[in-house]
Amino acid sequence: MRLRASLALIELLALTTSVGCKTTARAAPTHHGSASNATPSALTPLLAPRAAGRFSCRGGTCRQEQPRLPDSGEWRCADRGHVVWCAGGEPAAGVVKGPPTPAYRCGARWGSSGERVCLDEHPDYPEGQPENLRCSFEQEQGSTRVCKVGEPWRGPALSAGAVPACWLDRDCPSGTCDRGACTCQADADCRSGRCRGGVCAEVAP
Amino acid sequence: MKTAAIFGLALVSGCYVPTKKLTVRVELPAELASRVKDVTVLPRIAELRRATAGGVLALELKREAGKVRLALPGACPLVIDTREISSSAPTRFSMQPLFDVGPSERVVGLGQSFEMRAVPGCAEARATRATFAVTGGAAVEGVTLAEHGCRLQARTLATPPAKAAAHGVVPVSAHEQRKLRTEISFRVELVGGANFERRLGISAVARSSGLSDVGFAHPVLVSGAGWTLRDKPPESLAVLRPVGALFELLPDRIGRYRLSDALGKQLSIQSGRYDQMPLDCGRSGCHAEIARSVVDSPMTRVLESDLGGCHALTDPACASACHATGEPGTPDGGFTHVAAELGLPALPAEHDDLPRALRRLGGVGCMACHGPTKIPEPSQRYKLMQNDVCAVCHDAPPRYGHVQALESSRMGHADSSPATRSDPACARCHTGWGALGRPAPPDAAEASGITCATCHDVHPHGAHQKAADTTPAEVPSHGGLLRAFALPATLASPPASFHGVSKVCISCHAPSSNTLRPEASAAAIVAGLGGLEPETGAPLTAASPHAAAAKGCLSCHDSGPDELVLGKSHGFRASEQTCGRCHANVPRRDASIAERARTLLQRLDPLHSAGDVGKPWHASYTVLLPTPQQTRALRDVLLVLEDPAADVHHPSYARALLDAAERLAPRAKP
Repeated sequence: MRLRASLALIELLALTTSVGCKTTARAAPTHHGSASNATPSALTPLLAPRAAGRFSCRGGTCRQEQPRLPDSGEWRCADRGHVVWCAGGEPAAGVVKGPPTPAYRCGARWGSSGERVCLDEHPDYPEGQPENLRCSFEQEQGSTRVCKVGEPWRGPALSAGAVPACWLDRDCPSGTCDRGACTCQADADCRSGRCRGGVCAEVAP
Repeated sequence: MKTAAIFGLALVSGCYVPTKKLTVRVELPAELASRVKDVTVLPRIAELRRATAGGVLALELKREAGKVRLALPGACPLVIDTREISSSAPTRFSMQPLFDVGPSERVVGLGQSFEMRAVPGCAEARATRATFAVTGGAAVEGVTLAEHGCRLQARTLATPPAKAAAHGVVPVSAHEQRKLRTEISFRVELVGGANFERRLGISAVARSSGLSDVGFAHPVLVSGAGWTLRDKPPESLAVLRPVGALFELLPDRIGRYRLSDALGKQLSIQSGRYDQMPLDCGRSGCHAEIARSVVDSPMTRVLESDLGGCHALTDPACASACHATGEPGTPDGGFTHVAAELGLPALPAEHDDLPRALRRLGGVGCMACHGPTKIPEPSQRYKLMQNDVCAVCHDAPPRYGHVQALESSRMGHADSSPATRSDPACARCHTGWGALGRPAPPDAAEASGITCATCHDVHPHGAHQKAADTTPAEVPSHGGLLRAFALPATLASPPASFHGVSKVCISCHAPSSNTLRPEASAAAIVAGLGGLEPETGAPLTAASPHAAAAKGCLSCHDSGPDELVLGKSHGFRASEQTCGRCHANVPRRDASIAERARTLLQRLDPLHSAGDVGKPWHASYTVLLPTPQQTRALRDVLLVLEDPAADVHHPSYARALLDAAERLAPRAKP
């Protein structure tokens, strides 16, 4: 009798546990998107259209016809050491201005009136290892990013928080522009008043 | 009690085990984008959550689900093995169509062979019946079907568009293109009896503004005799192909193509991609004022303002061809081409969600009218002012009939007489370029009448700023874009309704000065202004019964061809029905006013009134009468004669003018 009762209890426990497990997951939605209306916020960012074109690869060279740029304005860009930096920003004529591209951090170009400089420290790459790629921009006819398999640029990583400020060396008080940021030896070398890791950095929060 | 505690503990522990999840992004083929909500996930229990937008499905799946199958009628099933996805970041997948039939629209050229082929995308496609069929539109010849209906071959006819008479690049309006577009359907009979149909279009021509600055891979039609291709970009294999009485050039490389005709005339055609053109037109020192003026233009914002409307990338009935830049069906770097390059299944509902490249090509921007390469050579710039530029979109009747309505009006043919183009005094009101003070086009240019650009300025700047006193209530639905012509001296203080949209009419439809020859006088008669007391020279005026009509001239002159839906008002016709909007009993026309005016003219100037038959009075009258009093009397008579509708516009003022002239007119000899 006691054994029977124990077995029944064990069965009941197993059943209860399994019922509890099943209720953890939501019921499958209908096929007309009702689930999406319930709590879409986590998935919504996934619905955004691609911000940039696909890479088209042939013979060790990949080309991206519509690369990610800071906004809908006019930009000239460069790519070195897995950092993209762009200068310009003049509004495109006859175009409805849109929001800035989130991947870029932008600031005023030092030594220039009206231009901006933007940094993308995590640019996109063709499938595979970005470590083996050297990328550049072709800007004769529109903007195309070209990545080639080869020895990557060897140099120090750009210091986190580097302030986007320069396109040419002459933009910088120190006389050297490294991937859109001015190099420095002391805080006094920077208009931002802060030198970190050898480049002018954003003012500390 | 003890047992209950054990149950509770078991329940809590059971619930505590979290379900591991992963997220995937699935892009649908563009032609199935509108059915994204119909995607089914099997087993259903594997799906935790979903969100859909613009042909994209975002799914949250159970990681332990294993192989999950996504299905949608018309698409190849997609199997995702959740256990093989190691990344915690969202993983991207694409569903492929059952059959890849290529782009929805293609522009192939006149008299050109083309092939449509359905390539199965998966094993499931082989189990279905599918076939192409020509279903409507322009006829094609030599239609053959092969591979069980999955391959269609045919040839477009070599029928030229209607405006092929012009010398040089042949303009092709949206209307002309549609007449030369063949509709093809691709029908798939799915297992289970359901059907799926895709509608495709083959156009024999690309739309053209007639400018020699053309989109890459747009077939360009050239009219004239003996054209030869003299020069082309390096590596180009393009040829100049005779098509009936025309020639067709298909630019296969970006760059310049030089042609010369039998008489040695040169034509330089520049071909480029829209997405490769810098949009730095507003750079200081260049066109900064124009760039500022278009920021809020309805042309600039036409895509943004209606992005949630009908803008499917694959439906030819939708407006992505005219609310954006470029020609669908060609690899020209235009909006639909770049959208395909970006793998965009559908347009997002919000403009801010458009990728940068598409924001630059959305709306009717600089390149939509000026072309994707360089400013035309000076001798060709007059073409920018012709209706052909606007007709690329605004000539698509019956829905969009603006150009058709204008060309049906007398204004559309105002310079059909060569004299109106050669004499600057005539050209001032009989030609668009004359009204705007632009250089005359070459002698060989065709008559174009008063064109869209005569009254409308898509980027107001300089002397013709947008009318500052045009209030929203007076502005038509297109948001204005009307030029601000100065009112003529004779109508310096017209009724308030003349300060709105009517301003563009009045500069030509009122006498320009108080000289003997009052040109087209309709606005003066309507306003009750412009006459002179013959004896004293004092202004002869009258209150205007039509002054209360809020849109001035356009209150009545707002009709055109009946079949048109939008733009009919650009026919500027008035009718008895128009009068009936205000007059319960429409007054009858009174021919006696014009008859009396002609009799008075004969009495005032018997010699002149006998001659110059067939010309308007203002084009034939140059003789002053012996006294200033008689001259002023004659002017009052001519004011009435110059307005063929004086009896409608303001009959009592017309009679008053004639009464005044009567006092100076010698009695007719018995």
